[in-house]
Amino acid sequence: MVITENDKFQEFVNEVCSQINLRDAHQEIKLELMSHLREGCDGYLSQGFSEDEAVSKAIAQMGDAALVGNQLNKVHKPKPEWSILALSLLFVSTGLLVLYFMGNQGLLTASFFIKGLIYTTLGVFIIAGLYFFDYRKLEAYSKHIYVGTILLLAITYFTGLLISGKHWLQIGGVTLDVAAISPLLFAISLAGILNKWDWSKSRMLLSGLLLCVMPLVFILLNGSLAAGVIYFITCMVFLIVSGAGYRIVLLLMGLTGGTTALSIISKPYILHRLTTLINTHANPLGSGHQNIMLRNLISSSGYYGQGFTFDPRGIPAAHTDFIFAYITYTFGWIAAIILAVLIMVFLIRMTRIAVIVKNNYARLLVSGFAAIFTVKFLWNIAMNLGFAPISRVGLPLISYGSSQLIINALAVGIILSIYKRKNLSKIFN
Amino acid sequence: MKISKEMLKGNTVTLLLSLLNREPMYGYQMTKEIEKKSSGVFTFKEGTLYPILHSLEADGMIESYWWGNKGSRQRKYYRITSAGKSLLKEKEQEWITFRSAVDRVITGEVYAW
Repeated sequence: MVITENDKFQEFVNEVCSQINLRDAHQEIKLELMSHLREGCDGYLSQGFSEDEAVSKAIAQMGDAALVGNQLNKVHKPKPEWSILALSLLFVSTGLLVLYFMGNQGLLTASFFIKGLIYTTLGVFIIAGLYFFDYRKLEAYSKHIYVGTILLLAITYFTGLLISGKHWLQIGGVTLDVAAISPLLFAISLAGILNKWDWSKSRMLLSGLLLCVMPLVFILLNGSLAAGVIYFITCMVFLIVSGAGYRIVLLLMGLTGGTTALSIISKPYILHRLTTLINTHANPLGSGHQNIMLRNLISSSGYYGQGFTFDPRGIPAAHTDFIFAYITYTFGWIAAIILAVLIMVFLIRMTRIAVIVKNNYARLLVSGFAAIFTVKFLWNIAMNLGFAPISRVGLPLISYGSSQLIINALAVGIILSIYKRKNLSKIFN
Repeated sequence: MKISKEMLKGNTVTLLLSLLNREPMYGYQMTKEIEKKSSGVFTFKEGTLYPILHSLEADGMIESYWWGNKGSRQRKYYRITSAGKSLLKEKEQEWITFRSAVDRVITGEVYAW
């Protein structure tokens, strides 16, 4: 085809797109209209028209570019996911409010509220920024994020600080729990890597399983069983969503089961922590102590709470992992149930996006995030009620924690970015 | 004979869905198919097809996928979803009711004259 003809077509599609506000939709619409114009042009050529005539006839047949563009703009008007945005903001505000109350009660120093305020502001900026960012550009960096996270875990393992069996990375004055934030980073990278993965080829199957198991090994090396469990469940969800079939899911279960068993054998305290949960009353002064304290605390809360009388003895770090217990005790069962219902709504809305979204990469991303948020929320609430192993699993977006808040804000931002562009398919090169 | 634009406008969704109910198609193919099947009675500006297709897709009535080799001609195909099929049934029923009502009124007028 001669270049000048392409120019006329280009002019037409550009005029159509100049009417469409959602810029990320332009590329696909241009391609679709361009292919229509070429097809029409070929039709006229075969009818014996000259090239010039065929081109202008094909364009005339399309109608008014501005009108078509205007109608397309109405269809592609971005609609933000208000419920997820509003609930995320509500959750981070709840976290801040609790920090404020705890400061007033003398449970925390005032600096926690200031720090919380700074991290929350940063988180809100991340969410807002990612909403405007086209998440589809992220897919190209999947491998980099994967390798980067593995390296970060390896550095933490070899050079990090060891506190009660767990490795922490120290950068400047900040201590970072790399293992705890790694499941989300692996979810982002594996969504891109496993997108359109062909599980039926044996070589692909093998490398796919290896890609799934390797992060688990590094997470467990850093002594974080909770992050390992969260990562494992995310992996399962990925395999199911990417169409691997139940046999491969079972295979991965076996592999990870073996890996976890090995890590438990090498670190007996993990096994100890699990068995105390099953039989908490056997040794009330031992590791089951905290579970009993929590159950007593929760059962003494009442419908309307005990006001600001929380006793920090027995429940350390109430602003991080045990914030749900604090909220229940202080504001009562009704408040706790309302919070739990809102969390359920948040998780259901997120899962719904995974179902309706068109782009396969986006579906993997959202289902990975939904899996992580679901496990964290449920585990933390069950743990606060005294029914799950006590582990370093915070209540997402609500618990105090710098790196956790930032990484969760990242996930919420990507989800909002996906919803805004839910009708767009992949990027073409 | 040319049909008024308004008349066609109210029924494009039904026409498009019934085309896609037979097989997945791309936009250009659909315009040609409608022209052919209606023996040239239905002609419209082809660009206006796409806003309708895109909004049907946003509503989950149809879904699209790209097909064709890279470099050579790539086409965006549309196929009907189960929600689209039930909408089509409704629309067909609506059309049958409408058509027979119009027929009755028209023939009634003829007799009255």
